[in-house]
Formats: sequence, C-alpha cells, structure tokens
Amino acid sequence: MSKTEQFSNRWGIILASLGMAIGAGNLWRFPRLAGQYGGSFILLWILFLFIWSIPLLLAEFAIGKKFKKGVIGSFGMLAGKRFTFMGVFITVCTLGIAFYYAVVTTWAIRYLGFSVVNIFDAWFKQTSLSQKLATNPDFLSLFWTNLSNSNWFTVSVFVLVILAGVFVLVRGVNHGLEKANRFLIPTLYIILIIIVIAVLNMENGISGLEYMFAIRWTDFQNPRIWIEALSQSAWSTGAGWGLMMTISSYTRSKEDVTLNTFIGAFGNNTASLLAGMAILPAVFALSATESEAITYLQSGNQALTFTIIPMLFSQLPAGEILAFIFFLALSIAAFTSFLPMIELLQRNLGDLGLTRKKSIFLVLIIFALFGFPSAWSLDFFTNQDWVWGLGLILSGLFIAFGVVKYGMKEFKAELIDTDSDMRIPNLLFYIGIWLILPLGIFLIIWWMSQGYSTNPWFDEHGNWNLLDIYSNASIVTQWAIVLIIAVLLNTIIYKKFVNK
Amino acid sequence: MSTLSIFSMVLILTIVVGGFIYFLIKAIKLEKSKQKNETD
Repeated sequence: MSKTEQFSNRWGIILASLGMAIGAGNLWRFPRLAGQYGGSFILLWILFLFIWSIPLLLAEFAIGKKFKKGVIGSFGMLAGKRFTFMGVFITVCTLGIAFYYAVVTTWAIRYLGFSVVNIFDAWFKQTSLSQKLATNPDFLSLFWTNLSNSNWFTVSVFVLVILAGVFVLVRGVNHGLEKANRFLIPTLYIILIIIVIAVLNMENGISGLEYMFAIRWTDFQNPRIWIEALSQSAWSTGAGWGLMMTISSYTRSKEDVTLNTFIGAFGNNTASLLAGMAILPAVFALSATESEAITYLQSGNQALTFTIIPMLFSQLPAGEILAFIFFLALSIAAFTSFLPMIELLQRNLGDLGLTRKKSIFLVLIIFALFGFPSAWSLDFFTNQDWVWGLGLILSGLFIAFGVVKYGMKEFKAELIDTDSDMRIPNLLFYIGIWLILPLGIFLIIWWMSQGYSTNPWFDEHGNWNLLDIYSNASIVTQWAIVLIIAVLLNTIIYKKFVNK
Repeated sequence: MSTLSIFSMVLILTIVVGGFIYFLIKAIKLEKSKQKNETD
C-alpha cells in the first residue's frame, strides 16, 4: 500500500461513507419495516441513530484516522495486545457478510438485466411483463428460484461483480473508490428522487405515505418494534462493521471526525426515507386493496425485492422503465456498499506488507472461493446472513469495549475532538458508548430467544443442531470457531498486524 | 392524510433530511472558509 494514499478532500470520505452505508438494506428492508410498523418505528429508528449508530461511527472514524491501519491492526493498537482477537472477529464477521453481499449485488445486477430484457420485449416483441405474468402467474417466482439456486449464470455474474470491484479498487482509494463514488452516489440520490416523484403522482400513492408516517401510540408497547428499529439502524448505517474504520484510515491527518460522521449518518437515513417514500406508495397504489398492500409488506424475505417490485411495476403503462430505474438504484447501492467490504480485506492484507496489486489479487481469489457457496445455494446464503448479521452486534460491542479500554475521556478529547470543526457534548458520547454494552447484550439474547428455529440448540435426536439454517447452535459454533482461533493466534496476529 | 400523519411526516423529514442538509451546508461553508484562508 502506498503510504501517501488518501482521500483528496472531505467530500471523498463523505461519499465513501455514504456509499458504504447506503445499500440493499435501505432500499428494501427499511421500506418493509416502515410499512409494517409505520411512524412509531421511524421515530425509534431515529432515536437509535443517536444512541447506537452515531457513537459507534464516531468511534470507528476516529480509530481509523488515528491508527491508519486495517481493522485488526487498528483494534490491536486501540485496545492493546490482549484484545487484538476482537479486531479479527470484527474483520471475519464483516467478511462473512461481504461474501454473500457480493451475491446480493449479483442478484440486483441480474434483475437489472432482466428489466432491460423486459423493456426490449415490451417495445419490440409487444410482450409486456404483465402479459408474461398473465400467461404464467409463476413467471417471476420461477425466475427467482432458478436464479438463486445452483445457477451457473448467476455464479458467472458473481465472478464479474467481484472483478468489477477489484477493477475499481486496484486503482487505489483516490483514483478508484473516490472517483466511482463521486459519480455513483449523486446518481443514486437522483434516481431515488425520480422514483419518489413518479410514485407519489400515482393514484393512492399518498395512502402509502400516510401508512408510512402514521404514529400508533400502542406500537411503542411492542418490544419487537424497538428491536427492529435498533437492528435496522445498526445494520443500515454500517455501525460496528469496521468499514468506517477502514475508510477513515485513508483520511488526511487533520480530517474532521464529527461533522463528516454526522453527514454520513444523516445521509444514509435520508436515503432510507427516500426509498420508503418510493416503495410504500408504489405498493399501496398498485395493490388491489390496502390489506393486500400490507400483506406484501409484512411477508418479507430476500425474494420480495426481486419478485414483488417487478410485478407491481408491470401494472403501469411504462412500468418496465420504472422497474429498470429501481434495479439500477439497487445495483448502484449494493455495489457501492460492496466496494468498502473488499477494501476492508485489502487494507488488512496491506498491513502484512503486501502491495495493493498483490493483495487485491488475493482478495479476488478469497471472495470467489468463499462467496461461491452463497452464490450457489440460497440456504447457505440465508445461514450466513443469519450468523454474521447478528455477529455485527457483537462487533459493535467489541468496538465500544475498545473505546472504554482506551479511556473514554482520552478517546473523545484526543481522537474525536482534535481537528473536528463540530463537537458533541462529552456526556452524550459517554452515554452512547455505555448504552451500547447493555443494549447489544440484550439484543443478542433477545434475538436468540425468538425461536426462529424449531430446535434452536439441539435437534429432535438430542444432537447439536449445527446444520439448521436459523439455529442458535449454528451462530454460536461459527462465532466460537473464529474467536477460539483468533484467541489462540492472538500474539502472532498482533506481531504481524500491529508491530509490523 | 390525517393531521397526526402529516405532523409526524414533517417532524421526521425535518430531523433527518433537514439535518442532512444542515450538516452538508455547514461542511460546504467550512471548506470555503478554509480555502479562503489558504489563499489569503
């Protein structure tokens, strides 16, 4: 890695943090949850932005800027030799997500291609998607099933996605990531605004808005809304992923921490609101009844983005175009989030002394190998989403622990406030970091107690239920493997990543 | 739309989108003044 490599100015890092944060979660998960729980959920989601996401993002930004290393090296320097293994867990956890996130990007791009084919079919063959659906109502479901399971074409596109990411990042942070984001992020916002305007002009579109912003006071008594709001804020802003730490390791030495973090966090939430204001009115306007719209919104899984949106848009006169615009936005959002995930691995490999070209070549091989099972099997994909998605909460806990270990007062004064044009009161930061610890532990326990698997720990024969997609046994086993190996190799890892 | 929905929409958009625009403008102003100081 070149020692002088850094973002050219403030906007480079802001765009990178926006690109990192705005992803598939903003364009589908947020609208689905906002549709399900309404304004009460959104208010709580804003609350958790302040007490979970912003303190963690501030911490990550400051750590990356201060130590100028990858996650493992930075964490080792922050928390000390004994706790370097935590940096390894954060890295592996985010990579666990990155491997299947490459597949999400692949799906978005395949659907972008699918929407282009639909435009051509509608224009030149006079066969619109609604006609295809009239002939075969399962057309979209079949396309989805075929695409997400044992499909070599999907695997080929998956390899191309990784190659595209590598192609951008091999040019370095300044000429690759910064240049790509400078074009892609404004484009993403413009596309979202276009969809919002188009959709709000549709009949019944306003009903979706009303549903989205309606506050039902009784909702606040439902613990699930609180948990969903916290998890959405944590996952969507990228807090606790180590990605902000990676990006900020390329900042100029006197970069503003606080203001840039706030712009990234609020920009991410703005994108979520725009996506909600685009999707919810569309679902309401195009569903036969309000209850049908609500049913669509409440039955969420990975397939929904890809099967319901094209179906809804197919009912419009120029729906093929709108579907194309939506999948273009989704592809851009997914790709710009995928780039920092690749960079996270590259940065760690760079700390080992590898040049960018060598490390990026290794990254290509690692992503192709470890991402392949998720590209091939939807079950494997779902399991990895389940295991590492929750792992992010543990990563957030580790980062908060690192800050406490360093000394919160010193951390705030030396790492955050120095060079920051805007400052937040010390007490707010301390409360935020202290709250993360109980909130995170509670969230992990609550999540595991929800019974997503019929046999969360042991199967009906009394065996450890490792192979169940949604079992707690699968989560604990995979986390334990990473933690045990990292603890055993802690000293070696510290020497390689920190002392070097 | 009900009054409560309109109120919550205005409140939420003001906090989130308003906050985003406010921080962006603040950063733009700071960058401009820094550039001005450098040229001076």
